[in-house]
Amino acid sequence: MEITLALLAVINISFIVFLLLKEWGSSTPRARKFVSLFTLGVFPIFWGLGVVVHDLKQVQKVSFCGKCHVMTDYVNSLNVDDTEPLSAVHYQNNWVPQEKACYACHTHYTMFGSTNAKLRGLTHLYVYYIKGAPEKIELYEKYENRECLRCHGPARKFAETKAHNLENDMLEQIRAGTRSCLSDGCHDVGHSLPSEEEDW
Amino acid sequence: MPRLIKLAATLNIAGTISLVLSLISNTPLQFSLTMTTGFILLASGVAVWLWMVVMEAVKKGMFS
Repeated sequence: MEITLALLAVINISFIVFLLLKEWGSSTPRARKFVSLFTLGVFPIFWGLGVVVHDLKQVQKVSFCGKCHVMTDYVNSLNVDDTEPLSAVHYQNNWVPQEKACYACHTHYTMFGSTNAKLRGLTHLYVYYIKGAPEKIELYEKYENRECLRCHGPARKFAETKAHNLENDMLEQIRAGTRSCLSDGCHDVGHSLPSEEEDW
Repeated sequence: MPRLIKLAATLNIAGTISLVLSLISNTPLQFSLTMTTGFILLASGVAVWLWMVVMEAVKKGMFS
């Protein structure tokens, strides 16, 4: 896809150079207007949108998240041989798209969720390059149960599991988000990191 | 060659090159900078071209 887009760009730049270098004369021939319409109007709009859409799809991939060295341990944790960490379990069982595993879990399931995820990417840039990456990386805000329940909520296993029915209104609390899925003693390991394993 | 066509062409070429660089960028910083710069330059080039078209239409009395 990148090669196609690059080739199309080269073709258009060639036409623009042709437009600039050709001696069109003092009048404005129809041909020059047609070339201008295509090279300066129609093509840039569609090609530019195509590139932006392609680029925005690239930023959803695990490989893109892994390009910052502070994320190396988190990306490696997807392949850890352990059934407890949520990231490893979901990734290795293909419960989330493996190519976009990070994006699948760390994007809010709302109308502007994906837009906010992209904007959060800009925040990551600011924190990493200007503020300085913190020693301990934490989410900017609490991980909402909604992100778990969009898949697990309708599941019979979720509703019938003994651990979710220890108290009378436990299920309601989970659904309302007042009791976090990631509470201590529950699903409290998101990523299994080498530094945390040493503490054990 | 009207000056504005040269400006539109220059902005267009610069934006195209920047967006092509975003396709092969290695780090998120390179990606963000090339994509943002490229988009702004390309959009500016299109805007300048569109302005020329509108001005020519006005000169020919198409909006009167």
